[in-house]
Amino acid sequence: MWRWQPKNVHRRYALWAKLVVTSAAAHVVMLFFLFFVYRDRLNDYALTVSRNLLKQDVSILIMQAQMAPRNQTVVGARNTSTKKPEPQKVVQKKQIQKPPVKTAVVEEQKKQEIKQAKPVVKKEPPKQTVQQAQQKKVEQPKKEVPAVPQVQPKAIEQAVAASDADLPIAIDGQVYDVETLLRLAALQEEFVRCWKPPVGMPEDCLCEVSIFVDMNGKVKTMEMIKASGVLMYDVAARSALHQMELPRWTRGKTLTITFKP
Amino acid sequence: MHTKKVFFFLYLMIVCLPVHADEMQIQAVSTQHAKVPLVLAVVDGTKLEDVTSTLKRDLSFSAQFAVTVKSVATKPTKKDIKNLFADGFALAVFINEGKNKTIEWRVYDTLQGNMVKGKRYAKRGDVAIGWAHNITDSVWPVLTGQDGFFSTKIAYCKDVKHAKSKTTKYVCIADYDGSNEQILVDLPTVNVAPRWNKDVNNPLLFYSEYTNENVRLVAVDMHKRRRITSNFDGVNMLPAFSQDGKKVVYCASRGKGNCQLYYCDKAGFKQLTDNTGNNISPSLSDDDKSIFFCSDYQTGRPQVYVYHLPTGKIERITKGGFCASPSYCAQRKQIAYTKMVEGEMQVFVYDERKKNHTQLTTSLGSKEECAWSPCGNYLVYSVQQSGWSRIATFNMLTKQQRYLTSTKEHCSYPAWSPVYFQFPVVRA
Repeated sequence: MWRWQPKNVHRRYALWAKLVVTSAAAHVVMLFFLFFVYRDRLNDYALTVSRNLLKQDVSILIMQAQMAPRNQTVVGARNTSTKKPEPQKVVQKKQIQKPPVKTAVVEEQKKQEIKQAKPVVKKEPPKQTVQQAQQKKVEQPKKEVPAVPQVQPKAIEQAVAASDADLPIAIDGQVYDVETLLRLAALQEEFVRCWKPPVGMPEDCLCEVSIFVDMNGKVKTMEMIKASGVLMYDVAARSALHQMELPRWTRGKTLTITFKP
Repeated sequence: MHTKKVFFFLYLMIVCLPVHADEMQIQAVSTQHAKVPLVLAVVDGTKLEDVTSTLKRDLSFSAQFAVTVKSVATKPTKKDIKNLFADGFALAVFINEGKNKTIEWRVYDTLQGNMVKGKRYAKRGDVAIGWAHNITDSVWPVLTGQDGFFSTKIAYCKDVKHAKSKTTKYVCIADYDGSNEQILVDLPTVNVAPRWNKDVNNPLLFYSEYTNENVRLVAVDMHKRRRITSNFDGVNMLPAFSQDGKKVVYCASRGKGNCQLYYCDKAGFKQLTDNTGNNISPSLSDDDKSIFFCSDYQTGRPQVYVYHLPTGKIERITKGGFCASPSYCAQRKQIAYTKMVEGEMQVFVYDERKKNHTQLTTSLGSKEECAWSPCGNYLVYSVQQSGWSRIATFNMLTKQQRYLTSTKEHCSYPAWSPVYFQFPVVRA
C-alpha cells in the first residue's frame, strides 16, 4: 500500500486507481515526446500537380511565423512554443514571380514602411495545453489543408536560398514550412516524371491507390482504393508507382495518391 | 515482485501509446502520355496467324497499347503471368484454338497474376479476319471501358474512269482502318450516298442510283443482290433507320423539284415536311422521336434543324452560315455537322445537353458527309482538296485525323456501319 492511500480502501479499487494513473502518465510522456521532442512530424495535406506548373501571378512572401494571422496555421511547421522568440525586423524579400499590380504596389509601400519601422517585439503565441491539442486532433481527424498552389520547385528553392531557411513562406496567403514545401516539390517532380497514362482518357477518369513504403524505400503493399473503371488506366497508375524512386522521408508512411489524366 | 511491476508498467506504456499513423494524400496529374505495354500471347499459334496479326493491328490502332506478339507452348500459370510483369508488360491477352470451332481468349493483369476476363468465342463465318475483329470487340471493353467497333465496315463511293472520259461511281466497303477494300456495286452508273441498315443479322446497304428517268433508292446485300426500294419521280436518297430497323426516314422530291422528308413505318407512309426548300440528310435520334436534317427553307442557306415526331414541331439548331450533313450520335448525345469556315467546310459538333457548338477540325480541305462510328469515338468524312477527295477518320479522344484512302483515288460519301453479328464480307 502507498502512504497516501486511505487504509479502508479495498485492494481492487486501489489497483484500478494505480492502473489509471500509470496509463495517464504514459500518455503524458508520449505526447510530450511527440509535440515537443519529435520534430519530424508531418501533417496531412493535399498536393496537386497540374499541367500549368508555372503560375506567374503567385506572390511568394517570406515572413516570420509571429507575423502570420492568428486564424492561419503553418502547415508542417515545427512547434516553436518552447523557444523564446527574439525581436527581429521583418524584411520583405523581392518577389520571385510577377504578382498582380495591386499586390506589387501594396508590397512596395510595405517595404518602405518596414525599413523605417522599429523592430517589433514579438508576443508569444498562446500555448495550447496538451488536452486542447488532443481534443483538436480528435475532433478534426481529417483536417482539410488547402492544396499548395502550383509553384515551380526552383522558385521555391530560390526563395528559400534568398531568405532565412527557418522562416516559413507564405504563398497565396497560406503559410507553409519551407522543408515541407521542398519535400513536396521533390515528390511532385517524381510523380510527374513517372505518371504517363495512355492517350484519350476522359478528364473525369481518376483512380486512388494507397501504398505503404517500407523502411527500404520500396512499395510494400499497394491497394486500389477507388478504381477508375478502365483497366489500362489502373494498370498504368500501378506501373508508375513501381517505377518511382520514393524519397527517404516517405519511408514508413502510407501514401494515398489520386491519379488524374 | 519489483521485476513484475516494472514489466507491467512497460506493458502499459506500450499499450497506451497513442497511435500516430503517418498518412499523406497526394494528387498526381500527368504531363505526358505513354502506351501501355501489352503482350499478345498465342498458345500453339500455328493455326492462328491471321487472327494474331489482325488482333495486333486492332489493338494498336488507337495508339494506346504497345503490342508485342509472343508464341507460347502451353497455357500460362500464375508464375508465368507474373514473370510477364517483370518483363515490362502490364497486361496480357492469351488466345488459343478451342474445341468445336472456337477460339478462347483471356485477359490477365500481370501485376496481380490473375485473369480479369476470359471467353470462348464461337467462330462466325469463315473469314479469319472477321474472327479477329469479333474477338477484339469483346476484349476492347475489358481493356478500355469503351465499346468495340472493329467488326464494322465503312462504305463509300469511288470514282472510276472509263473509256471516252466517262466516270462512274462504284460503291465500295472496307474495314474500319481502310484495309480489305471490296467493291460491292460495280455497275456502269453513278451510285452515291450509301447508308447502312440497322439489322445486325442482315447487313444491307442502301444507295442512290442515277438512271435516265430519276435517282432511285436501291438496297444491296453482301451477295451483291440488288432490290429497288423507292422509285418515285425525281430524287430518292439518304435513308435513316430507327434502332429496331422498322422505321425509316428518307428524302424524296417526287417530281416536284425540291426534296421533302418522308417517314415510313408499319402504320404507313407520311410526309413530314412541306416547304419551299430542300430538306435532306435526315438522321434519327436513339429514341426515334427526333429527326435531325438539313434544310434551306427559312434562310435560303442550308441550316440544321430538328423535327420532333410526336409534336411535328421543327426547331433550328444552327445559327447562320452554311451547314450540312447532320449526323446524330446516341452515345455522346451530340450531332456532328459540317459548316463553312473561311471558304472551307469544317466539322462541328452540337451538344444536345449543353446546347453548345464546338469546332472539331481546322485543317485544310473541305470536309463533307460526316458520320459517327457505332462506339461514338470516331467520325468519318470525306476531305476534298486540290482536286482530290479522300476518306478520313477523326478520333474524338485524341483529336487526330487519319486518312483511309490515298490521293490517287477519288472517294466520297462515307457511311459507317453498325456492329453486325457476322463480319460483313462481299461474296460474288
